[in-house]
Amino acid sequence: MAVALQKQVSLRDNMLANLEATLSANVKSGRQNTSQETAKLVLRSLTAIVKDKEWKNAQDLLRILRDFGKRLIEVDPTETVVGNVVRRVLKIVRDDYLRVHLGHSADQKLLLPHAVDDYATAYVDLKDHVLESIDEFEQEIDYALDNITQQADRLINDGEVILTYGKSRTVEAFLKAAKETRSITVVVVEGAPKYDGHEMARNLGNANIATTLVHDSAVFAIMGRVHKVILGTHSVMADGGLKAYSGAYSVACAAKHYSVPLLVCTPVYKLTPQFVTSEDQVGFNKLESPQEIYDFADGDFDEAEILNPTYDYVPPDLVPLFIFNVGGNSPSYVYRLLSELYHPDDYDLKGDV
Amino acid sequence: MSKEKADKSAPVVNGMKPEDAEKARLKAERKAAFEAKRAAEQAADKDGAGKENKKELTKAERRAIQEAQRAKKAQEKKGPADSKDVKAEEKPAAKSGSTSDSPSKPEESPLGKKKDMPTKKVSFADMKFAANPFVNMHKRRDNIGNLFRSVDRRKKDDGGGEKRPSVHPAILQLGFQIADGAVSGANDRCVYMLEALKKLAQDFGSTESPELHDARELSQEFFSKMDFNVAFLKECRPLSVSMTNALRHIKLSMSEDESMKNASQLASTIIDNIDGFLQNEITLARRAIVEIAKSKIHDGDVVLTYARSSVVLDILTTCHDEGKRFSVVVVDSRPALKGRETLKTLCQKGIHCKYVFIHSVSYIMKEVTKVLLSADTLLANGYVASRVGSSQISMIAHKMNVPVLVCCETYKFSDKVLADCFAGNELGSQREFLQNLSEKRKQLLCTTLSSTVSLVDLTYDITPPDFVTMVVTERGTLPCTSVPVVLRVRQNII
Amino acid sequence: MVVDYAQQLERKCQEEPDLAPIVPAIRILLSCLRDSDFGSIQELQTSLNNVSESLMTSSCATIGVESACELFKRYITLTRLDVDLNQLKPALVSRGESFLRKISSDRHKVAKLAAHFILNGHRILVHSRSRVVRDALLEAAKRSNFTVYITESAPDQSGAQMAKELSTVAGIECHVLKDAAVGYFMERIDLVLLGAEGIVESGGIINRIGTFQIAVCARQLNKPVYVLAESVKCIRFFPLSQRDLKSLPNAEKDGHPCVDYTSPDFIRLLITDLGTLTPSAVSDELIKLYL
Repeated sequence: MAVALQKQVSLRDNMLANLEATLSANVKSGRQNTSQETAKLVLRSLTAIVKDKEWKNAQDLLRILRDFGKRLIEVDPTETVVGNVVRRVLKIVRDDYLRVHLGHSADQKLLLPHAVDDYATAYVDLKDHVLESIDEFEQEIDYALDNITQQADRLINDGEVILTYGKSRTVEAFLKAAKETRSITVVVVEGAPKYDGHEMARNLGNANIATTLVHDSAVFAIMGRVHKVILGTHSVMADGGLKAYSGAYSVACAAKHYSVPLLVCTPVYKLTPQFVTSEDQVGFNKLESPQEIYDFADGDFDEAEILNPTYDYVPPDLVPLFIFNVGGNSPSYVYRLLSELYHPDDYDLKGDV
Repeated sequence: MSKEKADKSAPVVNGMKPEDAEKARLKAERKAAFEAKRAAEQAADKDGAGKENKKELTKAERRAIQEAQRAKKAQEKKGPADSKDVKAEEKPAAKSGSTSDSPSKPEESPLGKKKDMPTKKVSFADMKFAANPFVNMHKRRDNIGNLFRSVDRRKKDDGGGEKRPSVHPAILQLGFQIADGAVSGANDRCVYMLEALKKLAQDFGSTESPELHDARELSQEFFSKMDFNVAFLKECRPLSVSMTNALRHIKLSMSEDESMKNASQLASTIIDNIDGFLQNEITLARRAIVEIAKSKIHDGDVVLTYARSSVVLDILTTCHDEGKRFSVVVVDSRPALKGRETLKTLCQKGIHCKYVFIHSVSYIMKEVTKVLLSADTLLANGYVASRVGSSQISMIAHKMNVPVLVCCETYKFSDKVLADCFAGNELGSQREFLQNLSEKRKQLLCTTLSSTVSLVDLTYDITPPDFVTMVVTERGTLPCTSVPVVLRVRQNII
Repeated sequence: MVVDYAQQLERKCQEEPDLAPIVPAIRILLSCLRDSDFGSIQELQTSLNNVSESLMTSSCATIGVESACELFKRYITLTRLDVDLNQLKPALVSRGESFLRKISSDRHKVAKLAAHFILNGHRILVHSRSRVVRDALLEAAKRSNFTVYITESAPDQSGAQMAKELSTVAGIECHVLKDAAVGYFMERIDLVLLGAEGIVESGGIINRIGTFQIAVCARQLNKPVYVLAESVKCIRFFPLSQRDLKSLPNAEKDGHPCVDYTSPDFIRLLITDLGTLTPSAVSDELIKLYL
């Protein structure tokens, strides 16, 4: 028994250590996994926990998963995908338990908002159910991009000028898919200081899309000639707002001024149940090295503070449409998706079960 | 057709009386005859194109005829007139800007579906139709060599023998400086131009004969010389509103003179006029603006400014010298990154500064209490034309309820109106686009981009008056919409 | 009998001013349920209807009382009804008691959730006296320092009273503003916290007069408005304009309106015991509650 316990502990610690190491290495080096890679990384380790760890019942499993999730989130609190995936898996566990427990569809809403169930009954086949559902979830992550790009030809018309900011894998695929049936012109804003707009322009150009590269300062100037704006985002907040890369707010604001429709293409695992209370709240923004903005070699100023924020909050009234892999939605509907994806008890992973 | 006699015993069909039934039958027959005739006509029109799908073919045929007409017109008339026809025929759903595919449509077959791709790939900046807003913009040269060549060409064209006018060396030098970007900014360009014109006037005064002529004739002669020189400056870079207004002032000031003068007297009059303009409209105006604006800055203010503006620097340094305690946020943007000079100047003075790029303005704006910008010109409809990016900053400031102050001397006010920032704008050269990038990135942009990608570097943009709280001029503070009033006042004085 | 209940409610409200009138109202209903002797469900429902109607005539009845009574009636009848009548009553009573327990603890839940939105150094605008908002501020004061601006809220000066409570209990720095000075101070504010007397189907709220003005001003100056309310205040009512509020109980006093309607565009989030909701989520939750 003691040996088995030790094995458990060491297994979990190994896995955790590995995953923490990978995530924190990324944070320190500034290299970022794409959200998809991060999501799959986390999912794989959670699967391993479900498969290999010993747990007696759903309550136990939930507790283990929550603890694991808490530690992962602490590595980089601004990386919301980690928390989202953990919460999805927790919801999967809860739903499967209820399904098995109640013997019928778990979608039946109980009349008290917080179910009285304590998830304590042990079921033998729960493990298989959970693993199956996690597999489905993994497939969803894999096919998210395809599902989004399939909606392209309905949303873009022939001969339109489309503006996008910086580089986003999702938007790139979306535009390439649109190109197959429509002729479009794309204006790419270069997105200082990372200048990933350059790469985006290059990729789009190689796909034979007529592309124009402009500076960040030209966003408002050029918005009058743009038919649609398509953005990617880092996460979607619970009120339907965006946590997008810095610069997106200017684009969204200008689009609103000119009444240009703004579409945000994003897979649904980027949806997080957190609210933004203030843009400098802990865990919302992170400041990158000022070296990117002003090289230390160019001069040293004692009196100057050089700021390089990574994220921007775009409030929901500036975003008319989300293109999720589960379909198109308006920001006011995001709360509904939230309740389908996550369980309210899991919103705050720091609290206790 | 003989009518059937109404028979009492005739059955009532469909609830109708026999007479009514008769009328209905006749009507149906007439309708059938009409339909048959129409079908026959249509069949005749088709020229044997097949009867499978009547509607589609007819539509496609009509379209083919339209395309052929369009192509023909494109051959005959070149330029913007074309786009109007194209626009009119465009579907109402698509914006008029979506004519990008038109040049290649005639190549489609008449039965072509909507989804056929145009065979020629064009990028935004190269499109010839009005959809492309960059077509009529001045494009700055990639190297000064072009300018040299054009000057040489002029000399060659003039040929030998007769004395032909050539560009004055001072203007020549200034032209190259402006084209290269060594002299930039509305004020600086105007001042340097006036200084060069003073030299021109001096030379005019000393080389011409000392007889007395009618002042007007003499000034005409001088002005034609001046126009010739200014045309060269235009070639280097389109004149800013400040420059054109200054030139107009000089011409107007000489138009009233009816006395008899000789060349050197005329020259000295002109030089005095120019000096007066420089003193009143530029130097003293600057001082007045600084006086007024500094009263708007209080202790504890956080002032945001964009790129480099001499007016704003003057205001901030004066305030600091008088002991006011405030901090500054300097916003900068590529490609010129002029804000770094501002940062240097302010830091040397000991003012506490923050420095951000324009994409993170929304992050910093909540700390800001005032935005201080300068302008290239103020248009008669209240729009502020300034460096590209100012409108973005003003928009975000407006959204976050931060007052925006624009400082501009009244001589820069223009009586033109613009609806968008594309008319009269200038495109930077590729060299300018690549400024301030690391070598690696320059490589990426120069070598790996395919031909469908174009680089666009706008110079100016216009800010709507809703975003601007106040304009500070030497005559006081005004709302944006008062530009025509000021223009009228100026005209009366002059 | 009719006068009894209304007076009872008023008396209870006076005895326990710290409780919103909802809780004593439910207590009265519950005791009615306990004491009454009914032969069938119909009779029970009729008698409860009568009681709640008479409660609504009381002078301290708010729209929240009406919604609470509605929800109570639905809640207790959701048990299995095919049991013996003798067994039915205790079942109903126990349901009623759990409902009462739930709504008594709701306010605390809301306060805890809302405390997360208040950060160090914030300047908060609060309108008149709201128990939920007060609890939230007291909760937040345990870990942050902030300043509170409270509207005086004529004619009963309830805002001034709240200011006194806040400063004496938790030492929070409070400034009392004249109602007309809200626009002047709004530029200094970081966020606005409002209570609600009722949450309507559109996601908007019905609250003490003056709320609408504050919301409009906040919106114009881009300040977030958060509403704190328990879910028991959700009512099946959809006003189209301010005039529609005339039909509500105690909507007017001496010819002056006592409540106004704030539409959902002015509200950023509603913080309830069901969680933090956007106004568009409210109708969804309402349906869940009422079905």
